[in-house]
Amino acid sequence: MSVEEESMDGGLTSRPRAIVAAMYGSYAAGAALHLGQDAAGGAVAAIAGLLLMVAAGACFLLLYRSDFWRRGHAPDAQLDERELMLRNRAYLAAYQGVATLFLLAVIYLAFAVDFGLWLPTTYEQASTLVWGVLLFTLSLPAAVLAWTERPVADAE
Amino acid sequence: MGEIHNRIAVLRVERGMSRKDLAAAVGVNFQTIGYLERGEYSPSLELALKLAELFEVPVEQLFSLRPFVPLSKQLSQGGNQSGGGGS
Repeated sequence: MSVEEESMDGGLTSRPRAIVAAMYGSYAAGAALHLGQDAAGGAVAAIAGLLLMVAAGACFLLLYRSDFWRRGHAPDAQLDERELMLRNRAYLAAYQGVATLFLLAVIYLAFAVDFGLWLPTTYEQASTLVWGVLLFTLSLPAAVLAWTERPVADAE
Repeated sequence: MGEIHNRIAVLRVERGMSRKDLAAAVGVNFQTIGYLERGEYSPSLELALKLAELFEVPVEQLFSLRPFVPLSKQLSQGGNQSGGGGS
């Protein structure tokens, strides 16, 4: 076991849940606006969607610089016993989340083919989905930690 | 699993240590000390023994399955009770 100093987190520890919610929420809303720009009002909707996705990227960077990210991705030797326990719980929750979404996506694909539901047909649509999946899967363990922990603010 | 009560905060303050000092002495993150003091985390046997050794008290004086008798009550009774484990 080793003692890790607090890392720079851009003040994330004071509002971790808000950052996580903003990251996933703004990407989902941005992708919906961007991909549904024809229905939602053309160029304005497309630009608003892009801005929301950029905001999600900014939230991702905040999380990336946080202590939650370090603990979510550090080797075992750099974590103490409580951090290891929480990291393992976060991995379990992340696995369950990804597996559930994968299953839902496969079921949707099966129905989409049969019933003619929406499927990505252009590069832009596919890349929006791929970036969303990347954002979700890469950030998930740290996001679970940020959502569930109530850090001790005072080291004294 | 039930809550495990401890006297870490009292003993730490008594010895003039910060959470960071105590964390460094037993090889954990200072957040873990905070969680222990708040009773939101129960330590492993190894960590419990390390803390007891550091504070130079028997482990049952540091951790208990029952709440410890408050220090003020002990003083008013003029006794030297050990707390939750014994009474």
